[in-house]
Amino acid sequence: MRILRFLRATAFAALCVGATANAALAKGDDTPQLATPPGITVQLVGKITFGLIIGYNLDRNQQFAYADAKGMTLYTYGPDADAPGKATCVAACAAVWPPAIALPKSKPFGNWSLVTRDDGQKQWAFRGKPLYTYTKDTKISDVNGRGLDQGNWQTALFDPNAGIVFPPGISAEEIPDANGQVLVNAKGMAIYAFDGNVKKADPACSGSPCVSHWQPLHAPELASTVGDFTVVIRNDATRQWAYKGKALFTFDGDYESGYAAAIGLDKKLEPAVVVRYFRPNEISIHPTLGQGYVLSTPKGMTVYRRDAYVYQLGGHGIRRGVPPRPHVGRDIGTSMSGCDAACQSMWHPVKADAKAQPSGFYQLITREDGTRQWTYKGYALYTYAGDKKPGDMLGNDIYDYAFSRDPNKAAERPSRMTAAGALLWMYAFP
Amino acid sequence: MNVLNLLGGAMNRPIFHGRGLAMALAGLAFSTANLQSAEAAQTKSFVVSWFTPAIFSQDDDCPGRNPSIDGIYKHALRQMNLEPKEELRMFEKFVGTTGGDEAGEIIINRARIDGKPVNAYANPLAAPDPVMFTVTADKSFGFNLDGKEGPKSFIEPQTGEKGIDNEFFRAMGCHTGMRAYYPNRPLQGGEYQWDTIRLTQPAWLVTIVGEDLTKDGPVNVIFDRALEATKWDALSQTRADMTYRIDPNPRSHSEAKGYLKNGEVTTTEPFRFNMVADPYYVQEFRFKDARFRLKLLPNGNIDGFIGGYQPYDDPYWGVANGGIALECCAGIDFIGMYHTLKRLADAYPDENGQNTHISTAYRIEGVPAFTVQVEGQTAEAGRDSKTR
Repeated sequence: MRILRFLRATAFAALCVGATANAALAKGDDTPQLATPPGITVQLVGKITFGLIIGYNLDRNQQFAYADAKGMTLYTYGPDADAPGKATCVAACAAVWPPAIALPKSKPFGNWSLVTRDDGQKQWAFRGKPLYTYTKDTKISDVNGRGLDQGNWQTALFDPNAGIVFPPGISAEEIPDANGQVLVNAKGMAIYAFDGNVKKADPACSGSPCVSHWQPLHAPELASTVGDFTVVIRNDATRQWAYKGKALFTFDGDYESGYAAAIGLDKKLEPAVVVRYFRPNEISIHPTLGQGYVLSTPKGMTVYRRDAYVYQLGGHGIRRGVPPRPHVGRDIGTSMSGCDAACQSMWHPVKADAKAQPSGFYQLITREDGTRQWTYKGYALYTYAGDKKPGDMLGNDIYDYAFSRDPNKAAERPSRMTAAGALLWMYAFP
Repeated sequence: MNVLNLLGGAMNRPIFHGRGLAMALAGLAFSTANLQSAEAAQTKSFVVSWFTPAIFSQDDDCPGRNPSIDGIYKHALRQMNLEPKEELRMFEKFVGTTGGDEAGEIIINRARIDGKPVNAYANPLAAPDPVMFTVTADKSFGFNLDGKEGPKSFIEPQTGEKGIDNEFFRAMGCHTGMRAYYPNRPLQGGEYQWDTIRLTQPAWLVTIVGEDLTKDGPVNVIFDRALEATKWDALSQTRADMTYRIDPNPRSHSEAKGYLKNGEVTTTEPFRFNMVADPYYVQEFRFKDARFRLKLLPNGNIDGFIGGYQPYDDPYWGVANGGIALECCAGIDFIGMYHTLKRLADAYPDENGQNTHISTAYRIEGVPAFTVQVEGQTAEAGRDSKTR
């Protein structure tokens, strides 16, 4: 029965996905799909443990899952598979499992479709599966509904590449600097898409003598079209993979998975993004000295997060040396604890416009004055007045110790710190 | 145009070189137009290989040794009026390194505010002062920072200079983990910290600039941080002759005037030394009235000392951020350390007359390196961490 449900749901999802994909192709639109629609966020869910030393640990069992605009975990419901295009959790069920209602004027795309409920409201579905929250989840990262009703309720895990068919040896992984899921080869190295005709201007043979940093991603002799992947016959008669009509290359300056060193090197060769992540209009990324790409304003001014010191054996100063811990960022919120008036005057919140909606890893937090501030992976975002030009990072590594020098007054600090901690400012990276 | 600019190419704008200077100049000798500027200054650059507290331990330099960790914690429990029997019961189950048990929780929260237990590392003055032993010997590495010869001042063991100010050594020198018979380095600050962070910390750079570094004369000494971490050789030693880009962030840039004499550079004027470090050691070294002396060794390395007045919060936070997990390994009572540092702080009083800085000295060693200056961040005064 479950297999039947799965097959039905998959068939329906495939129809939906195929339809939208075809529509996109028909319009000649090769912009990668967004990973999430407006109002749907991505959260790290699962048990958060609090260590004695730093107070914050990440549980290895934590996973990324889809969540609503407030960050509450989304679930799928098994019986919905028997009624493609409908949501079967209604009435009393819906009182406990509220549907993920789409924002007005929402439109389906990619893996995301809309289900019309009996009351006419539109409910988001991922790959044909309607999505719900659970009333007994009270905070972000809760997954109290997981496995309930004999396993019918399951967490809607973040699966941005669902539905994409890859040839052997090619897959997609998150490359933060490219703001999305990017094709990678069997070694996990980034793949780049060439916006041009390899028969006329081959980046792999652009010099004289023919020397280049770009290596064609060769296809086997017997390879044929797989999904959006096609085979291009090169001038030397070898075969090369192409994605959505763009010939694919690797870059010999890439040494590590998760990075794409050639971003910005050649406008015609960009990372082959298959699913892009939402990024607000107020945020961009900008290259810096030593730390690679960091979040920035559209004008390139570095964007910072306020973080709690993490006790680790070095590595704070290296690129991405202190990974974000979303629950820590949420705990800190917009707190300026330890940052006096002069300090506060240097830090300016990255504010959202009135129409902004959370999506993906970006959420909104309402400040005391009623304005809304962008958060990224749980951390409120700021710019630093000491930075004068794009690429400046003078606000990085500024620490406010969180211990008291008064024997009669306890230290002001996040409650979970268990040593002499600190709040610090550090650049936010993608 | 600076003669060395010609070396730039795609590497932006190199201005300083170490061993490569002679080669560079030879390569450019044909360019007579540039020789005049080449003669204006000679430079030697180094990457710092070690930076550890300057400790000069001797036999009988302390009235007693401060206790190891079980002694520290038993003493802490005793200060909370626990019965010896109860104390023993707790220690039989004490896990030891990270707390997590009854004794650990009590030790972590051994401070009291309004009669309630609070985290001692976050509220060190709310815990009783265990009154640690301090150094009573008369010799210490360091510098005469205040220009005076007070009754408490030390005598420098290498130079014989009197009036040496190093109250940090006095405060810490009777802890086993901080003892070192020169030229050995102390465990704390050495093996535990520097040796850990130098793997991943952006390298520290020292550049000496003078008219002719083979002769005695005035020099400028520049301290910078690199954009790259220190490079190592197969023996886990800092590798010589590697190239580093200079981070233009002014928070890790200091300049000082010095004098080269008989192969040793000494400061001629106090200066402000600032260097961001990994917080596993000290988040930021920031010395007021700093001094140094650096020997240019025959093998091309440098070895010497740098000192000044340091906010006493900084070395405290550098260890207390690890709480019980580091306290147990370091064998230092962090609460006692803070009380002692505060008591011995000897400069820059606040509005209540409490000194905020403590005299200190660190041993600094380096190997030759090439350094390259790059265009990048705005170079203007940054803001210190707000601790005072």
